[in-house]
Amino acid sequence: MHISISAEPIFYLWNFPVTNTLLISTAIVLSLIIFSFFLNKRLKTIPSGIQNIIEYILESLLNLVDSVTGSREQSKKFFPLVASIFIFVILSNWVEILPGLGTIGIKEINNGKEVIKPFIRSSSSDLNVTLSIALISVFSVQILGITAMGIKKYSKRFFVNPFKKPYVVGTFVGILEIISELAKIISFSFRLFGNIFAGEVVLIISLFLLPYFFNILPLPFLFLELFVGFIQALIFSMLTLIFLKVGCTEIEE
Amino acid sequence: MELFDKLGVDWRLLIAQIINFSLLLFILYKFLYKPVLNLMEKRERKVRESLDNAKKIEEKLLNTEREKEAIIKKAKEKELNIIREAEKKANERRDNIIKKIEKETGDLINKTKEKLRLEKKETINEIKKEIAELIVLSVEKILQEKMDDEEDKRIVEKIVNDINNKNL
Repeated sequence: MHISISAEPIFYLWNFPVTNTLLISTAIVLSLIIFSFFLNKRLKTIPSGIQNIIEYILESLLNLVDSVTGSREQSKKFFPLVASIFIFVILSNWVEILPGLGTIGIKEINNGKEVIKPFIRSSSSDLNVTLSIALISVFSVQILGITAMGIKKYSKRFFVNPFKKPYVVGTFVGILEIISELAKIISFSFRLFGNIFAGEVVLIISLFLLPYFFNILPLPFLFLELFVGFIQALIFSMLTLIFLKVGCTEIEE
Repeated sequence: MELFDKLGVDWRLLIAQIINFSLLLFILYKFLYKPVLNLMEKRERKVRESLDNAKKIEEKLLNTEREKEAIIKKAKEKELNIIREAEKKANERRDNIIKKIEKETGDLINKTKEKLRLEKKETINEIKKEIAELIVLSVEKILQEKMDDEEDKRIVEKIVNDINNKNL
């Protein structure tokens, strides 16, 4: 049994490592795109079947966003990013529930040891994925903040003239703000990565603890991971939403 | 940066994932969120409108009903008034007529009585005259020879006077 922190490359395209997590996340993205095309074609005024479920999910997400922003107009601005993050993250978290996790893959001899490169690996357990979403989230906060109040007002948050009213304190707080933006990226990506990677490790280990059919150990962990996956997706999207809200609110001087 | 290397962070993969997610974001926004939210909003507006309309119609109906009742009430009152007035008028008229008739009858009776009295008086007078003449005639016949005209006249007058004095 071998668990690697980084995602295993399945094959190389002109020196570009196509990892299992890239394949999984691409599959998620593609299936979501196909699904939305499919739904878009069959959208009806009087909903039925799958449209009901989608409307229910989107409406509850929108209400959640509303409860934070307090205005429908702003909610509509934030909603696409928040909802996309939620949907993508929850789906990539739940990939680890699929059977075959960490067990079905390519066998390889590495440093004299037999190593399996699994096909299925939750895309959230790759730092590349979580970091990319975190980057998008934090950069969207900056961009939406600038469009909401203009670059001049927005930059006041970070760059404060040391010879004006709060003097050096204001400047120092500005520097702290910049650091906190960077910290947001780190905390976003490592929180999700850590949670899901740990969950995956637990699931893989619990698979090998008892032999054959006596192994009921993964079952409680599967439920746990279902819950953790949901919670992490919610945290990621809610934090993004709150940062967006804070970023679009002018600072009182 | 060595830490990131150990954790498997590769800028090429990072960019690939960013493109992946941005694509997802764009497509979902264009084909899922926008149409679905628009649809929901439209439907909500429609439902609210139709509910409002229903409320308005109900209110109107209620108002009409109230108006109708008021009109009916008014008409009934008017009707009652008319009937009452008519009754009053009829009563007055009847009373008037009765009074008039009574008066007329009374007058007629009185007149008739008076007439009868006069007639009676006249008749009595005539009868008296005739009786007196008769008596004179009979007395004349009886006393034809014994009295001259002058005497006769005097006696007759005296008798007539006596009768008149006695009877009246």
